[in-house]
Amino acid sequence: MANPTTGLIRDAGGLAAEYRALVDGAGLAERSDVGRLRITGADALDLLNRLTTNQLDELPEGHARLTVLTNGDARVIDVLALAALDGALLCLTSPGRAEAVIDWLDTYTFAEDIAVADRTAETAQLTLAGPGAAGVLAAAGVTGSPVVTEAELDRVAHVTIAGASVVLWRTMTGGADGFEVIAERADGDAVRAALAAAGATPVSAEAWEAFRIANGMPAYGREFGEANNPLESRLRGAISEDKGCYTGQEVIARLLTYRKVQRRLMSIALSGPAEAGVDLLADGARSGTLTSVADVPGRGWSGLALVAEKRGGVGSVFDVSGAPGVTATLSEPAYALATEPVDD
Amino acid sequence: MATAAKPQPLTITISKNAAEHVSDFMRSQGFESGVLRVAVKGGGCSGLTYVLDIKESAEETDKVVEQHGVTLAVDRKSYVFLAGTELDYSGGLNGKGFVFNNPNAKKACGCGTSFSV
Repeated sequence: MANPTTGLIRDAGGLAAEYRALVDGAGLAERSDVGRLRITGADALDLLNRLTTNQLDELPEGHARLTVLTNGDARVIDVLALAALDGALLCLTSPGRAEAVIDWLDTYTFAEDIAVADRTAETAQLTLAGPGAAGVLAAAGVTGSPVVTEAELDRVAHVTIAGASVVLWRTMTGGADGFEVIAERADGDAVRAALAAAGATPVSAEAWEAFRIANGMPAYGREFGEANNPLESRLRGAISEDKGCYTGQEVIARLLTYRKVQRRLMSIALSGPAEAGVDLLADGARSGTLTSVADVPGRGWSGLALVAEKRGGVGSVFDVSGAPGVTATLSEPAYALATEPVDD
Repeated sequence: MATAAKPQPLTITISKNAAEHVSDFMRSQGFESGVLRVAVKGGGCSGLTYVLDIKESAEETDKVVEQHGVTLAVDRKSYVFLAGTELDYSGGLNGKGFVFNNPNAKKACGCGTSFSV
């Protein structure tokens, strides 16, 4: 049956093979639903520095940084991945959030020199993930790019794939080391075909979602949004604690100083199927919300949950509302362990 | 028959005390004439931050108010967030300097330099 998102037709057991490609090989996910903005103007970085959580007083050409757009109550408007490229900023938003981010920036633009163009419809995006990703890029003719050769994340540069100039961006948008490949929309099919011919396994949206959940990578509308602050969603790696004022800073500083974060994102091992959105119960008391669920190949039913800080930690076992006999066991999300400050 | 008083349009005002401090500052900086630009910009803990600046003249599209010998110039977008505001001055050892009494501000941060509406 064709996946309505990717158009891919899978044979039986295809999900397991796709997932294994993302984990052990090189998986290629269609991610054009991510919002892509081009932000220009002499004041662009300064305005984003004033409105978001991470340190953006400088962002050298060819480098990228994750930051969180928060309101005055430190609730999350969106998580933004920003890259400095060609004298402009390339900004990735959550799927479906480009317009909301543009509106937010427009509201807070007064005399600043800044222009925001939504390039989502004009461009295509693929994510190449897995330990074989660099080999696939080399087989596709990408050699010598610092994005591939340097050991650090968040490097970005133009490379050529299938004769087309594309943006290659090493980042963790799926919660693990990988590469974003952004092409003009007209070049998307050729770039996708070239990467597949070079050894990448096209994966479905279902496999990508299983990968995200297994990695503990929070997503808009599930693990973060305007009902959450970024500390609850384990996005502390995208928060600077010494940059000074930005919108929401006072609340975040208070939550950190007085250890007042009420809920925390946790990874969940489920003993059986359950629906996202239901409560987790400890002795019948509501203790958290299951936010995402997937049947992860090789791991079984897994999920993410926002769990009340006082109700449980690693190893705690909860009942699952609406799923009799199913239990949920808590563990630390891999993405949070990889990105949160070590002194936390 | 009594006639209801016509509501006065919201404007921006400056107290006599604040105006004196603005005039003193302009003199100390060598401005023989000029305007006090009052504006808002995005940022600060609560989302919007006040900005004060001395400029030689107002922009064509500015809202201009003269009071106590000081000319205030406000750009149109900032004016949306500042209409009805009185700019005052809190002096003395424990004073805060220039203070914005802004009826649009629903919340302010601890240091009082930013607000949300």
